[in-house]
Amino acid sequence: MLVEAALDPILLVASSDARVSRDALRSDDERLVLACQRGEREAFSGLVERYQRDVYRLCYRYVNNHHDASDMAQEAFLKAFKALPSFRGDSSFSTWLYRIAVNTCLNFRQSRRPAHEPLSEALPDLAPPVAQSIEDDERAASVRAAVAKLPEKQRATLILKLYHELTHEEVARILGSSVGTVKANLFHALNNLRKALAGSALEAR
Amino acid sequence: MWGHPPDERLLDIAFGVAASELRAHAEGCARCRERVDGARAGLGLAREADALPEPSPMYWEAFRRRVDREIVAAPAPRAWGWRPALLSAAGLLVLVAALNPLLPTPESAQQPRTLPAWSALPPVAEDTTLQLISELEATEELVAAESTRLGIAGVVDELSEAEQRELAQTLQTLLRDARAGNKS
Repeated sequence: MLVEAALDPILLVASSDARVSRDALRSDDERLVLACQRGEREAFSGLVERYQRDVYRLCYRYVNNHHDASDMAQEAFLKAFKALPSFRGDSSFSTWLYRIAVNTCLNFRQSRRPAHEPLSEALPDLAPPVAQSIEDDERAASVRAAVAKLPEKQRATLILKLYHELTHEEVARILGSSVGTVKANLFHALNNLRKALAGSALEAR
Repeated sequence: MWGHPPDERLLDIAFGVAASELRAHAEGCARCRERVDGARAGLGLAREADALPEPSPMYWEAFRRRVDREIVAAPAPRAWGWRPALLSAAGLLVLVAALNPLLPTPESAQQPRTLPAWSALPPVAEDTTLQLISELEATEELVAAESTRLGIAGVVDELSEAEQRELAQTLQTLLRDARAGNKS
């Protein structure tokens, strides 16, 4: 309790800093979006630079391979650029962009069914993961493959909530559903993930 | 507590943020405990894949350049893309209204047609019909693109209430002017 009390001011400052940083980011996004809407195409490069990793990672979780993820991320940014005039700032730019990326992923998967995602696909242009054993790599690859095979809504919810660390409310806004639905979908996703990997060496850990 | 809590409440237990009453239920209920344990195990497994293979810094630079190239190649998005299409739609309506008296009717088709004398036509600079035709030609390309994408009804559907009011007023004014022109 004493430790918690001593940490409180530090946590408050950290939380306040995080809020300020988030607000600054949002304000900067708005500035770039307005510039794009005025016709300054180069402002869009700033938005791409800021969100390219997030969008790519979201796509990668969906398709579980680098080449498709890269194509989808590019497609998502192009869609965002074309739709930018209709963006009115009702949600944050990042929420809006995530929604476009999720829709791109869903459309991509629908056009590619049945999903064919060889786990052994080489990623020649990727740097090797730092300080991970081969066993860890295989374990992570198995989990990623299982995540990529979850039902659409469950997969989207799990990826956005766990790997992008968004709040339930943010995920609900992106997916256009209620917070209750998001939480229920996440609960099912986690149970299904465990079932998918049941009996594997993973579960024994 | 009556019955089993819904899944979203069970998720709160798995994430350790549930109220004590809820936690107590899950501890005493085999069905709920099994599902909460399943979600916790799933959470642990999902965390095994936190890290993704990271592309090199050069990849991001190439990615950005690729997006830039595509954007430069793409037509510039238009914030007011609906305006040319609506202007043309309005112009088309007015043109039809203006030309309506000249179109043959079943009765008039039986009678010899009489065209207005050239001297009765307004000067070219004041002829609103010619201006509308000119605007239609100027926006033909834009209309074709918009109409293909949405159709006129689709364009109208995309408008806000204020924009729809503005369109209705524009159409009424143009139609009134055209009728007045026909009478004179």
